[in-house]
Amino acid sequence: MNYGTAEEEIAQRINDQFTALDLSDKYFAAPMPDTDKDVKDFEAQIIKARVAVEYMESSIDGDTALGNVRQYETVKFRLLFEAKKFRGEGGLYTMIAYVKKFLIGYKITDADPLTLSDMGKLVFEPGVWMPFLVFSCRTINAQSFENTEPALGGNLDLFSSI
Amino acid sequence: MRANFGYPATWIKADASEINKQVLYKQPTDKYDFGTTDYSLERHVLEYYETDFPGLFESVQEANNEKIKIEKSEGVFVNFIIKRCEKLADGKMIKAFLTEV
Repeated sequence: MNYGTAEEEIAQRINDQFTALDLSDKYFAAPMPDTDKDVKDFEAQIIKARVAVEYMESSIDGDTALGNVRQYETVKFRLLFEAKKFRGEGGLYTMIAYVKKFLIGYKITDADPLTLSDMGKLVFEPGVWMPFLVFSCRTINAQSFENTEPALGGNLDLFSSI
Repeated sequence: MRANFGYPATWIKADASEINKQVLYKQPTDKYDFGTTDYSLERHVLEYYETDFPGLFESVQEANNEKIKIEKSEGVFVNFIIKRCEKLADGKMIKAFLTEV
């Protein structure tokens, strides 16, 4: 899984769903800004409730295969919300409710469907906080090449030359 | 005398009517926390006398998206939405924090 592509897919899913509901003038989603310019563009959507999709962390299981290596990875994405009000149309809680509906069970590339894992508030300083949802999904990391090994017992020519 | 410094600003009201006044305006760069990342963002701030834009402070407090247009240099206008306002000192001067749109 490419975490950056996954962030973009999740943001696109949210925007597509809001467009389908004719609510794209009130809600906006984007991947986590790359640059200062990106964060400025994100801020420019101030008249809408906004969410940024950020790859958060992964936990990785041990190898599950007897032959080639195969490891499951649980990937977490944090969705950070901003809005000018809590309730009603264009409100923070309204957007959170929509985003849960759009993403629970949604399948991004190279992964199992998304599940909701956590919700909380990121506190920057007293009185300044940002609510977030955490979605997670499972993906698999598999060996993509074959290891070539000598036949069992090694090269017998070595013994004959002793 | 007030008209001799600052920047020309236009409050575009919800009914599309406009009020033009001279305001103080600055745009320093500041650290901006977003998630677990620090960005650097221009902080657009203006200050005005409450009598210049009557009702603007109250409207922003009601979470309305009030629009301000500032002429940053001659013939160059930049549009902003007011994020929040606060009253300074004796409450007659109002400081507005802006987002460029």
